[in-house]
Amino acid sequence: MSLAFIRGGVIGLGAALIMAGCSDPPVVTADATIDLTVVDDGASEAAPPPPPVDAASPPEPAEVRVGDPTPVPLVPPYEPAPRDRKRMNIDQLWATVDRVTGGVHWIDATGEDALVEKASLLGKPDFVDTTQEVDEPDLLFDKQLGDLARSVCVELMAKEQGSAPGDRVFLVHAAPTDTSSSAPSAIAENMRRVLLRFHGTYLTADSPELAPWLGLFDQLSQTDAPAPDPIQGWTGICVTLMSHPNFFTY
Amino acid sequence: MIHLRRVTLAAMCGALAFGTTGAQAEELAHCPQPSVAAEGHHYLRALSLDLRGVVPSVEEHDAVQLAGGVTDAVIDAYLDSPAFARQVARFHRSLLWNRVTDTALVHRRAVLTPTPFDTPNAPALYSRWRAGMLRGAQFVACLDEPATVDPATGQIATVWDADTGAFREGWLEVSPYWAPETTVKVCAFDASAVASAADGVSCKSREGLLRAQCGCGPALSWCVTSETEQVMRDALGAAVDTLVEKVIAADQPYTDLFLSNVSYFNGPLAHYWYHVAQRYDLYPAHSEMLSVGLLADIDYTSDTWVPVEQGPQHTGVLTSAVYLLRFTSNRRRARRYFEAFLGQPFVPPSGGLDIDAAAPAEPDLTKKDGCKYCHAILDPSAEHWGRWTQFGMQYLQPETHPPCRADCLACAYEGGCSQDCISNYVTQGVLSKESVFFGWLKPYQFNVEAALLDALAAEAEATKVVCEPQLVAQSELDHIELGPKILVKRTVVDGRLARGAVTNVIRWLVGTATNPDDGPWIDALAQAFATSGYDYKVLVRSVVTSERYRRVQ
Repeated sequence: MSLAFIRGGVIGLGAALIMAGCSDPPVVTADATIDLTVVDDGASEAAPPPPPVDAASPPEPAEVRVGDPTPVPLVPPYEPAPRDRKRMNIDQLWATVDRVTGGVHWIDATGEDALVEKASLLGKPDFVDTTQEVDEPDLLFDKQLGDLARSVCVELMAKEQGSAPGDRVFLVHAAPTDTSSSAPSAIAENMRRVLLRFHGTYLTADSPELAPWLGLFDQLSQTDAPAPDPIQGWTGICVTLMSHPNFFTY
Repeated sequence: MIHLRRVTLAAMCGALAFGTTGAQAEELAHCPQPSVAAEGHHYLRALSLDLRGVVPSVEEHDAVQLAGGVTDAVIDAYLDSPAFARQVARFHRSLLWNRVTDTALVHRRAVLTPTPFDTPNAPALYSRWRAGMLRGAQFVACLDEPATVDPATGQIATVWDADTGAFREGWLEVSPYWAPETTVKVCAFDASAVASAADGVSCKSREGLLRAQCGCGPALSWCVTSETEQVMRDALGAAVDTLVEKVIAADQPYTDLFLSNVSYFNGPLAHYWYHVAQRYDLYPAHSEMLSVGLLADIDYTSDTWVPVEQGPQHTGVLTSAVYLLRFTSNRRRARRYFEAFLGQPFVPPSGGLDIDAAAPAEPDLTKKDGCKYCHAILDPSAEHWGRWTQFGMQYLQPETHPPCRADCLACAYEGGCSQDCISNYVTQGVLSKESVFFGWLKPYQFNVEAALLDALAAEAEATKVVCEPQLVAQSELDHIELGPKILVKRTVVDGRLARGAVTNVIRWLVGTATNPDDGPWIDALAQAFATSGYDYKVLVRSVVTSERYRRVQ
C-alpha cells in the first residue's frame, strides 16, 4: 500500500466527517455518567435483588458537552526522508584503502592492481557497455572485499614490522611485540586509533564498545605456541575492520 | 532494491569472518541503527567520501574532536579542494557518458600495425591498408631486415618477392612522437617523411594517404598505432572531465559547462587535431571552430591541459567531440540533454500511445500519430545540433553548407549524390511531403513556412522548386543556426536547468530518488542555486548540510 494511498484515505475520512457535520470531534467530559445496569441471572444468591426497572421513568441522561475545537492536521507535516547508507564506489574504496594503509594495495598474481582490474566486475561503469554504477553491497562485493582485506592486511603488517615507529600507520601506539598482558594500555590506545582510522568511530578509553575488539585481538593472537602472536592478532583485526560494514558504507 | 541492500547488509553484519566467533561477530557488528542523524566523526566521514572521494585522515578526525563537531570551515575546505572538482567531474561522467572506445578517429590507412614477421626479432610497424599501393600486394609488409637507402637520391631499395608477389623494402629505425627517446622499427615506405607528393598534394592530407610517395611524416606524426589512437580517444573524454573540473575549481557559473566556448587540450589531443585529424575527412578540424595552429606547440607527451577558445557556436560539453561521437544522432544528443540535465525522459504514457492505423502516411514525426508524443518536443530540440554532422563531429560551416544546395537538389532527382549530400542534405524521400525538401540541409526539413508548403508541393513535381532560404522563418533559422546554446539558455530562463541540477545533486549525495513531498525543498534549492549565480558549491553545500543528508538509515 503506498503512502499516497494511505494519505488519500486519511484525507477522505476527514472529508467524510466534515461532510457529515462532524468537523469538530465530540469531547466527553469528566463528569459524564455511564449506566452500568447488571441483569440478575440467579447465579449469585448473595447479591441483593436489583430495583425494578420502571420503563415509564428512564434514568436521567448523562450530561455531554462539546469541547473547544482543536485543529488537527489531516496530513502529517513534511519530514525529510533519511538517506540510505551508501556503499563506497570502487574509486572511493581504492583511495580509502590507500589512505588507511599508507599506500598498500591489492596486487594480483600478475602484478596488477586487482581493484583496478576488477573495477568493472564490482560495479564501476565503463560508459560504453555499462552506464549505471552498481553500489549494492552484494555477496560478490563481500567476497572480493574479503580477498582484498586478507591480501592488504598481511602486506600491511609485514610492512609495519619493517618500518621505524614514526613511519608506521597501523601500529602507531603499540609496538609489534606488545600484547594485552605486556602493554594493555598501548593495545587499547592503538585499537581506538585504528577504529577511528578505518571506521571513523571515536571511542573514549572507557567505552564499552572497545572491549569486544580487545577480546577479539586476544583471541586472534593465540597460537599453538605458549606466547601470543600480536602480529597475527593485528592482522585479524585489520581484516575484520575492512570487512565490516562501517568500513565500506557511510 | 533498497530492501535487498538492507538484507545484504544485515547478513554481512552477522557474518564477519577471519576467525571471529559467532558471538564475537554479533558483538562487533554494530550495524547502523535506523535513521540516525550523522554527527561528528561519521558526518565528517560521509562528507569526506562524497566531496573528496576518500576517508578523512586521523588528524582531521582529531580536529573535529577538538572543535566538537564538523565546522563550516571544514565543509568549505572540502568544497574548495581540487578533489571536490574531481568528484564533480566523476559524477558528470555518469550524466555525459564521455567515453568512446571503438570509434575510428583516423582513416585506417593511417594506422600502423606490427608486421607479422616469422622471426624472433621485434616486429616493425606498417600500414596494412596501404601495402597494396606501396608494394603491389595487399597486406604485405616489408622484409625483416634494415632498409637500404641510396644516400644520393634517397631512393629505397626493394627486392622482388615471388612468394608474396610484392616488391619489398626493409625497415628503418625511427624515434616516434609517442616515445621520442626510443626508436621503433618501421617499414621504410611507411616511415617516409616527405612533405608532399610529386603532384603537389600534401602528404599530411587525406589525399596524401593515396600517394605512394607519402608516409607517416616526421617522427611518424601523421599516423597512429592502436595504442596511441586509444590514448587520443581517452583524451577526448578526459577533456570534458577537465572542463568540468576547471569550471568548478574556478567558481564559474555552472551554466558555463554548457555555454562556454573554451575547450581543453593535452598533448595527445593537440597532436590528434594538429597532425592526424586532417587525414580523415569525417572529422576535419575547421579553422573557424578550432584554430589548430594554436595547438602546434603542444607536444604529444605533455599532460598539461591548455585552454583554447573555439568558435562562438561551440556549446561547452554539448558540442564537445566526445559528446558528438558518443551520441551520434541529433535526436540522441538532444535526448541526452533532456534526460540527464533536465530530468525529462522521453517515455510513452502508461496507457500507451494512440495510433490511428487508417491515417494517411505522415513523414513528419512531430505530426505523426504516436510518434508526435515525443517527437513534437524532441525533433525541434534536435535541430539545434543541425550544424554538426551526425555519426561524426564536423561543424558544417554556413559557407560550405548553406541551408540548401543546388547540387544536392539536382542529384536527388538525377542520382550520383556525393557523400556530403547524402549525409547532410535531404536527397531521399518517397512522399511529396518529403521530396519538396530535396536539397535542404536536413534540420530544415519540415521547417519551411507552413503557408508555402502546399504551393511548393504542388510545384515540386513539375518544376523541381529550387530551395529558398527566405522561405524559412527567422525563428527557425535561429533555432538551427545558433546551435544548442539557444536550447540551454531557454532552459536556464524557465528554471529547468537549475531544477535538473538540484535533482542530480540530490541523487548523487542523498542517493535516493526524490519524491513528490520534496517539491518545495527542490524548488527552494533551485531558487537559491539560480540566485547564487549557479554556484555549484553553494548548491552542494545546501544539500550536505540538510537534514535529508545528515539523517542516515
